[in-house]
Parts: sequence; C-alpha cells; structure tokens
Amino acid sequence: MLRIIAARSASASGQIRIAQSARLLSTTIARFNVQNIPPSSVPPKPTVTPVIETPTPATPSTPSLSSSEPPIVEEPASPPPPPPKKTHRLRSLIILTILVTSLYGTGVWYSTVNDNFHDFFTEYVPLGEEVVMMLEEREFQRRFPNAGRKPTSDDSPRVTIHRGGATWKVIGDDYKGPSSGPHVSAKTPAPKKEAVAAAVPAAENKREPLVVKEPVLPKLPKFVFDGKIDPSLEGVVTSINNLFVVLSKTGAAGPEELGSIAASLGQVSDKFVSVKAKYEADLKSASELQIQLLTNQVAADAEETKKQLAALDEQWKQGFFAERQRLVVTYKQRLTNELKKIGSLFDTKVKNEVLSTDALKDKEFALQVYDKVENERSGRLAKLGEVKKAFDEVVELSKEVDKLLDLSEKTADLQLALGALSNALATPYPVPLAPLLARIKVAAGDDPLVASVIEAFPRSAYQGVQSPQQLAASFRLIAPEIRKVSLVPEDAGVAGFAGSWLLSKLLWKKEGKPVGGDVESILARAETALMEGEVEQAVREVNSLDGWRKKLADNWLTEGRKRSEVEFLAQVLSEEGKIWQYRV
Amino acid sequence: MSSAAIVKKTPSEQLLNDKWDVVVSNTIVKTALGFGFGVVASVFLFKRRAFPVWLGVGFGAGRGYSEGDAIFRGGDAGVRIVKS
Repeated sequence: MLRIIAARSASASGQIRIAQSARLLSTTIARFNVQNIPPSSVPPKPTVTPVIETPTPATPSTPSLSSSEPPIVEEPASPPPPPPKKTHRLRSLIILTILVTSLYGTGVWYSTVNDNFHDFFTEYVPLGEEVVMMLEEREFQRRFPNAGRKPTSDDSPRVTIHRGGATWKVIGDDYKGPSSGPHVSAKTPAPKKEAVAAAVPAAENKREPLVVKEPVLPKLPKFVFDGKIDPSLEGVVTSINNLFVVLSKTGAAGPEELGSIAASLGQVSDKFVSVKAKYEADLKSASELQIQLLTNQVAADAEETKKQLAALDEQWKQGFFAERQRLVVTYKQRLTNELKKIGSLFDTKVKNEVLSTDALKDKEFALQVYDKVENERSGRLAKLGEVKKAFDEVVELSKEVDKLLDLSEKTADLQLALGALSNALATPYPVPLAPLLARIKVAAGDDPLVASVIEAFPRSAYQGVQSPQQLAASFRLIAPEIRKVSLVPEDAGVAGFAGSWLLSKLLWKKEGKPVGGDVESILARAETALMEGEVEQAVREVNSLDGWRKKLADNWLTEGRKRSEVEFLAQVLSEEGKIWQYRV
Repeated sequence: MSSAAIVKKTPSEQLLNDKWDVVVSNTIVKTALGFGFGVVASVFLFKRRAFPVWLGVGFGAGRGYSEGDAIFRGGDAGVRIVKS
C-alpha cells in the first residue's frame, strides 16, 4: 500500500514537473512572439492554453511562475463548446451482441473442454444446456454416422413362420414327409423352386380354400430289376423311380422317354451282371493255381530242411568225440603231476624227521655231560661256596656299621646346628639365621621334613628376628599411640580423632589379664603375654584389634608374626632332631 | 645416609602423626590465606572495618577443617605433594 502511494506521489511530482516545463516553454514562446511578431498576426492557440490553464489535479498551482510571468495567454477566447454527445446506440448494441455471442460461444466451447465449466455452464447459463447438448449430439453424429440406426430387415437371415393351424395338401403315393411347411425353413434352406411351389399353393389356398385341383398323372413305367443284381443297388433303383415320378410330374419327360431310359438301364444292368459272373470265375481259377504252387514249394522246403539237420547232427557228434578225447588227455597229465609232487613232499618230510631225532639225541648227550661235570664240582668245591657266603655277610655287616656311623655323625651335626639355632633365637638381639639354616640343611641331608621346614622359613627372617625383649620394648612405644585412637569411630574426621585423643586420656588403665574386648583390656593382655615371653599370644591379642588401632600396630604385628613363625619352625626342627637321635 | 632416611617408609605407628602434621599445617595455611584476603578486602573495600578479617579467617579455618576431614578419610584434598 505504501509503495503504491509512493509511486502515485512520484508520478504526481513528475506530472508537476512536466506541467511546469511546459508552462515555461509556452511563456517563453509567447514572449518571443510578443516581442518579434506584431500582435495582430499572432492568433490565439487554443491547444496550448488548456495545458497552462488546467493543471492536473495533483499539481498545485505555481504562484511564483504565474505571478512572475505576465498573463499573456491567460485570457484567450472561451473554449469551444463540447460537441453534442452522440449516443451510438446502434453501434453499442452491435458490439454488445458480438461480445455476448462470442462470450456465449467461448463458454459453449470451453464447456466441451472442461468438465467443471460444463457443469457450471449448463446449470446457470440460460439455454446453455440445450446448446451444449446439441453441439455434443452433432459432434457425435459426425463421428459415428451409423450409431443409433436400426438394423434393416435384409441384414440378417430370418425365419419365416407361417400362421398356425393345419394346412391341407394333395399328395401322391410317393410322399415322403413334408418338404416345406412351418419351421422347415429353419432347419435347411429349401430349394427355391419347391419353396415357391409350396408358397404358391398356400397363397392360392388362402384365397380359395375349397377349390382342389388334382393334377392327372399318366401311368409311368417303372425301372425294375429281376433280382439278379446286388441288393446294395436297390437304393439306386428306388431313386431312379423317384426321379421318373418327379420328371413326369414336372412334365419334362413323357412315358416314352422314360420307357426307353428304363429299357437301356435294364440292358446296362444285364451287362453288369454278366461281367460280374465272368470276373468271379476268373478269380476262382487263379486262386486254385496259386494254392497248387504253394503246396509244391512247401514240400520241397521240408525235404531240404531234413537234409541240413542230418548234416548238422553228424558234425556235432564228431566235435563231441574230439572234445572228450582232449579232456581225457588233460586230466591224465594233471594226475601224473600231482603224483610227482606228493612223492617229493613225502621224501622231504621223512628227511626232516630223521634230522630232528638226531638233534634230540645230541641235546640229551650234552645234558648228560653237564650233569656229570656238575656232580664232580659239587663234590670237590662245595666248601668254596660256604666261604663266599660268609664273606658276603661280613661285607653287609661292615656296610651297616658304616651307615650307622655316618648317621650318628650326621645326627651329631644336626644337633649341633639345631643348638646353634636355638641359641641364636635366645639372644636379646637379632642374629642372622641364613647360615644356621644352611648348616641344618646340609646336616639333615635328604630329610624331606627338614627340607620343607627350612623352605617354610620366611625370607625376611634370614637377617634375624627381634627378640621378645625387643618386641616388648617396641610394644611399649606403640601402646600409647593405639590408646590415643582407641575411641575413634569408623570413617572419622578431624573431630573424631581430636575427640578420641582427648577422651582417651580419661580412660582407666588396666593391668594383668582383664576380660573384655575393649582396647584397654587387649593392650593389657598383650603386654602381660609379652612380659611372660609368649610372643605368639601377644600377637594374637594385638591382631584382634580393628580399624586405626590395627593399622598403627601393623609394623609391630609383622615383626611379632615373624618371630612366632620362626619359633614354631625351630621347634619343629628340634623335634625332628630328637627323632633322629632315636633312629641311631 | 640422609637419603636413606628419606626413602625409609613411615612406620605404621607414625601414620596418624603424619596426617595430623599435614592437617594442622594445611589449616594454618588456609586460615592465614583467609586472614590475608580479609585484611586486603578490609583495607581496600570496607574502610578498615574488622568484619572482613574475621570472615576471611573463618573461611580459611573452615576450609582447613573440611580438608582435614577428607585427609583423615583417606583423600588428599587441598594438599599438593611435591616430590623432591
């Protein structure tokens, strides 16, 4: 909207400018004219004045220009009166008609193109439906000129049905059913002549139903065979007779012509009969001749066959004898071969038996010799065996003595080493245990128990373990620390630790072996156990602490455990040493 | 020898003392920091009034306390361990 207004104002300003320039031009021209040309020769210019006098409604009047310039042309002659207005009625009527017609035509055309417009046009425009229908009908007719036309009567065959009721007709003896009549034409197209013949009497009968005209037929000759002919030709005879009847009815032939035809036909039939008899006789003689020939041939063939069979029999007999002879020879040869083989086998078997009996005899002889020699030896050298037995016993004894000596020596070594270990454990300061353990291992030899015990010694104990006195001293150092945290709850913060530190100072100290699971009792029991030298018991007590208490005693616990382990293992070793003593 | 002493592991009974050392020193440092911020704020912002100093000290001490709790519970909050 704003844009439109702006455009309008722009066009208005443009018009103002044009008007101004036109006015300037006209004034200068006018001045020029005034100055140079005598005023009488200057005619008033009606074409310029309207531009100056009537500016466009949008242009305001320009007072500066109009005031500055003298109004030279401002008062021309009054404008010419407008010409009388023509009505142009006829013209407008024609134009209107053309317009309406073309619009209507366009509407009709467009309604054939567009379905929606078709609906609109036929419904709302007067006479629209009729016009459109007419147009469509014409179009349809142009496209399909044959559409809608009824088929003519000659296009298809039709069935003629006569009026109902019985009709009468004079028939002769040779009547064989109706040739024409109601519905017969539907079955087969009847010959035209007959149809006409049937139709004409029917038509005549219709007109004169009571007048009867019987055609008078002359006596006809009949074509008859005398029974010599083949019965299959009787149908031909019947049809010929019918033909005669028809011909005589139509009047094409009279009894004379028919009689001559019948006579000639009789001759033909006689001839036919004689020819047939002749041919039958010929056929019979020929067949008899053929039978004779065939019989002779068969007899000759039988003789030939017999001869051939006899020759074949002879040949087979000879072959059979020859074959039998050959088989006999073959079997004989095979028999002799087998006999030879069996003989050679028997010979070898006998030879083997002889050889085996020889070998057995040799063996028996050797055994006898051996027995004799052994008897001789036991008799003379029996005492040598006894001496050897005694010597063996002495050797065994000496071995056992040696072993015992060795064992006792090892036992003594072991006892010494074990004594050194117990001494080392009894010292009030840590003594390295590794050399002592090595000595014990050497002394014990392959004793599995000692070996496994030495394996079980903790590696950290090789450098020595703290004595019970040392453990007691260090326990005295850590006990106050444990006491400080004796009241610390789980997951305590600054306040928990500070509170425990303060409040633990108010706790009663216990001594001896008090009963109870509180920290003070445990500490008292552990201290008592340490004073009694029972490191293991003290370790057990301290191990029952929990939380920060146990965490603070961790180092001490490790040392105590090490000490108790070593003590236990040393005890096991000393027990094993005692067993060794018993073994000796 | 001195390096060996440094390397030597803290004995178990000294664990808690070490923690106390860290907690106390941390609290002192944080309180001092709070005090310093309080003084600065007091001088520059609050015309030398006393309450910012107390506020700073309170913040510092509170932070030290809370970090101490965390240290005792196994964390290392507020403490930076510099390896020598």
